[in-house]
Amino acid sequence: MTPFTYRKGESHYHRLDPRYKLIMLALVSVSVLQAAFIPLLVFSAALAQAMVRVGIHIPTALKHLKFFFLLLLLIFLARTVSEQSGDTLFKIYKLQVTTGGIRLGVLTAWRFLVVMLAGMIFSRSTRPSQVKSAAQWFLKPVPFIPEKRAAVMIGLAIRFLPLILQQAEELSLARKARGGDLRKNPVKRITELAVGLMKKSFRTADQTALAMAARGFSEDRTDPSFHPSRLDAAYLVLTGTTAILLFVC
Amino acid sequence: MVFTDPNRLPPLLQVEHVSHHYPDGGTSVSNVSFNVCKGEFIVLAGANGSGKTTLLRLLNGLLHPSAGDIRYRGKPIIKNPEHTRKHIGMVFQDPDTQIVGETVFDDTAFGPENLKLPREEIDKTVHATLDSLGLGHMKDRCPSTLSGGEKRRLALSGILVMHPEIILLDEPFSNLDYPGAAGLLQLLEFLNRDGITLIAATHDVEKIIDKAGRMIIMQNGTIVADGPPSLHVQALEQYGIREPCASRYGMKPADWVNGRKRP
Repeated sequence: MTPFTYRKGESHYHRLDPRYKLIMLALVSVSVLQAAFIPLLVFSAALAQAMVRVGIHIPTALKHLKFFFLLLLLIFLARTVSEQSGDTLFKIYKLQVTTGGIRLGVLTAWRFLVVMLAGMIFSRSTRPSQVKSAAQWFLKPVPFIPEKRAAVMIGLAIRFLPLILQQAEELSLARKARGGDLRKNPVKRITELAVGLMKKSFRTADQTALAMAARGFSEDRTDPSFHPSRLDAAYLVLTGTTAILLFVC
Repeated sequence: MVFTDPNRLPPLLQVEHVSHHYPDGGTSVSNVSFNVCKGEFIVLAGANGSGKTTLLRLLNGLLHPSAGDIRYRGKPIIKNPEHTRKHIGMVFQDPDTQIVGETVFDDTAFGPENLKLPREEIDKTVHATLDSLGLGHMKDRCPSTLSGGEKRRLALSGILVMHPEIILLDEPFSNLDYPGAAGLLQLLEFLNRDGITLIAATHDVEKIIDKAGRMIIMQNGTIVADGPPSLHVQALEQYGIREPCASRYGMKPADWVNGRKRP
């Protein structure tokens, strides 16, 4: 169970229509990437409150993002040395670190963090089947894409990802039990693990296809149902207004 | 539990001289014939590689016989696979490969969605099925977080929600601990008493033999014995199947569940 895993709840975010939620997430993600310091600070405070409301424990969530923070550090460093405005703080060979560079580095990393946290709120408050249904709804008007098949594929990916990770863990432990970790060549180690995992995954896929056929799988299935309410409209207007303010201010 | 003479009631399922060959020429099932009547509880016993799983897949219409004919209520099953799979459900050996939904509710709804039932009807029937199997409070749980016994019950609920007449079970007790196996056994007994015909393929006959009214033993793709379990139980070991403990000591096979101590 991670902060990205769906958990049942009674918050407004849990009750919103998944299609509206996806639109809101897209609006927030685009506008945040243009936001300045003060609007971003205000939005981050609102986001923190939303995280608490959907039942995310913020320190635990940040702990789960430790590898993401490494990526943010790289983004920060890249942006810092690429911006030369402001006073020079220090210089390493040809790389010059300026106040403007640090400001831009912090801002860029912060924006990415906010997008990640918004995604966390979305996945925490939306059942995977709702995500699948919303994706099916959005794909319906797109020509040459069988939206029902795509939805089933999304659903299977969500379902089988933990199983594949579990199988990878088992294979890795089985290798270790036979002294596999004594092998120094990392390429060989990864190849051995990948081959075993692929064999297992293909076998599982084969069995799953049979099991789906046994349960009468058909692409002509019952469509998902949506029940949009005034709450969805209100949240969409609020998010739209926030997105414009983040963009403009 | 009912023992039914196959010749007494009109058969629900008729298997006539069925054979199945693999594309490489190997034979998995050879000239198999038997009838299944409504309400029967059949143990399909056999060692690994005896053809039990292939036979179950033939009965569900997942595989086509190379020769012979399988009829459900008088109609060939391969001509109407959708109808067959609605009425003949199959629970696979590994529930992890059978469970396709992201939550317990979604997985149970998979079958009715394939039947294109209206959403309201799906919600109603899924809730009723989950409640009847004691899974109602877990409906929003991710299947990967369930125990082995709960996963097996979920796999069964995905079948029961389609109101089948026959349920085929492939090694139903594999990877189950004692409480999980006992719970499943009680559930199977209840379903059979409710009129559902059960065919359970297993090499572990001890758990199930006293519930079944008939035992079919397979070896090398053929049926070598068919009749009341008491008639063939002592011959099991010659076909590579362990004889139940009670039978070895000259007693009748005991109730595997009620023999346990309750807390």
